[in-house]
Amino acid sequence: MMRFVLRRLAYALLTIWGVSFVAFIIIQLPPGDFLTTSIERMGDDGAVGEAQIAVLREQYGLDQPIWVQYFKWISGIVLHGDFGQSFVYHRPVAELIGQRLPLTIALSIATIVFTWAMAVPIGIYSAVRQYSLGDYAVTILGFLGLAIPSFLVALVLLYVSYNFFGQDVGGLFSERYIDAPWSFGKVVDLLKHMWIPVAITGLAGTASLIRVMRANLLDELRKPYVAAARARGNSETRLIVKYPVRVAIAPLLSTLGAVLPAVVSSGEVVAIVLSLQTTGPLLLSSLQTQDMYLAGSLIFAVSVLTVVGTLISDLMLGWADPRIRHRYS
Amino acid sequence: MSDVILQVQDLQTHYLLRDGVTRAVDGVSFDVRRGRTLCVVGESGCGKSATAHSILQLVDEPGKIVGGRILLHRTHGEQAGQVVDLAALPARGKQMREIRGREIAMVFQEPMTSLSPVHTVGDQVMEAIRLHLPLPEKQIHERAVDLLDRVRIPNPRRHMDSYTFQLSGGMRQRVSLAAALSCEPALLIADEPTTALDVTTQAQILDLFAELQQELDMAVMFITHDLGVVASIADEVVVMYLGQVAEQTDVDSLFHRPAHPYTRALLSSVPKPGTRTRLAPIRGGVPSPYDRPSGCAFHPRCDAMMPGVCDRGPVPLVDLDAGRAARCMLYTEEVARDGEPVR
Repeated sequence: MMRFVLRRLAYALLTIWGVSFVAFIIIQLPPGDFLTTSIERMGDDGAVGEAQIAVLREQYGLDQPIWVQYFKWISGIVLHGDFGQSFVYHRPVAELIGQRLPLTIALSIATIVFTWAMAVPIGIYSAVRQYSLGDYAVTILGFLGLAIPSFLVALVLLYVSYNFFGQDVGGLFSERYIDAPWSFGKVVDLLKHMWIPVAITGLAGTASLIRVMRANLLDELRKPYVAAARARGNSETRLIVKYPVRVAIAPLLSTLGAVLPAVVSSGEVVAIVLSLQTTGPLLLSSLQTQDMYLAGSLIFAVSVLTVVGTLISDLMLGWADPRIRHRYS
Repeated sequence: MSDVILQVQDLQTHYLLRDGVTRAVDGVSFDVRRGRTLCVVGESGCGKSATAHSILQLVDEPGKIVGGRILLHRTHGEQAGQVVDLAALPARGKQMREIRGREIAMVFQEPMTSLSPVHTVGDQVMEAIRLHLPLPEKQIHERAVDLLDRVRIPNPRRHMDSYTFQLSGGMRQRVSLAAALSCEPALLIADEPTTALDVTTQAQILDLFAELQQELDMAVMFITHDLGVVASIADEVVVMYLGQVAEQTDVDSLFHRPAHPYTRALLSSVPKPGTRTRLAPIRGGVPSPYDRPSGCAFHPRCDAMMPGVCDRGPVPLVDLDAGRAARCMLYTEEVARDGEPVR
């Protein structure tokens, strides 16, 4: 098991290293460099002297070869947690992300937990009672959940709750807590607001996971080891949870790594609609304004999240399925 | 009759499909006795497995036991001495669960798939003991190690923590056998347990079966399509064809004086070492269960077919001597009186 864990960790670090290149390339991608944009903007206010530009160029190492620039950027991140400056907000990128990333992660984890807590039991029910009335009902609801775009659900929910209950469900905090320091009250307020984006972004994921769980379990239920366990005198509930569910859930675990970024990105549209203080809207606006240090850093951060998610799902899969963990020992 | 463990009487298991009803088991009767091995023989699709699965109520949807009785003479626990009709018990009820794994255990065909890939050997061998015997955990563990030792798994203590994918096919089947025998059942049902194994391993597993049966004084119901296996372990034999008993006999008579033309055809389709005669395969194939021939189900493939006799009306199971019986018109009174009885 130890070897398996170490190997996975090594792969994850390698991937993050590779991802950092991609993020850096994205930062470098727009024509000219970010100073051009910034100078243009400053130029609107008044003339910018050549000398001032030269100072800025040197400060960001823009006159040096690209690998030196990469090295400066990555060592700044690793050694000082310095992601560069956002020139739209005129603040360090680290500060901007630092505000929103924890909320994004919290929202994502809550969404995944919600998705699994809904999808796994429903999927099990749907498979065990295949072709029953309940199975059909769940299937119809599932396809509806898959088919309706989540931002539409968000809009409808906003409309309904505002019009009929006079309650504003947008945002993650009530007005009086937005700028308040963290406190017990603020956490409670967050939880009160969080269930709506969690339910909305989790909807599509829940629907597809139900389908996957149902299909996996149907395959397993017919396997002889299930009949063998039944022939040993296990009760139905006990044997289904112990044997086929355990096997059927393994492929689901391996999708966890993919679910994490999907939740982060599909959350973006919903986050904009519900005006949530997560990284999604920030990334969108940074791309629109060519705020490349912010955009690159956000992409880097989200990619690292993905790699971490994949790592976690790999480790869980290894724990759940001995065949995978033993391949490395 | 005190030695009878299981009496199957006129068992009917049907599959209720959209296209019609498949009569997988169509009025099958036989007894299984303590310390004896009953072999159920037949081609694929003749209802052997459906019969075995019916006994433990393991028939999958849309299969259903629709008639007959399965009488178990209980030997364990408080109900010892009582007779219970398994066909009448609810498949998911407590009583059925108490019998499964405790009084009747089962070994399945595919050792690759009949054990869970994600649970250890020990876990699966200990499971039935945990379910049925009120023993402390330590004793359960020791009992499982002892069982693995009895089925000749080398280094049993170490293999308790092995996973099945780390074992060979033969070893896996030994593990299945250990799990099945863990509560010393009165009846062991083996559904083609050696079919997926190579011949050498097959012989070892068969020896193990015979040995453990004697040790535990079990009744064994052994399902196979392999007449070589029948010759080596059977006491009594039931030959099945299209869900019905074609012939019921002791093992010696099966090979030395087979009564039913189907049995004879089966025997002559098996190669015998030392002879140079041409093999005679049974002509045609097993008919589709939807398109069951009228009269005797075997008549389109039968060499002794009597037109006008075999192809109309149901054929009774005719008692012969010494507990033998055959479902064949050749042995009915009218044919035996009028014409040419074969034997």
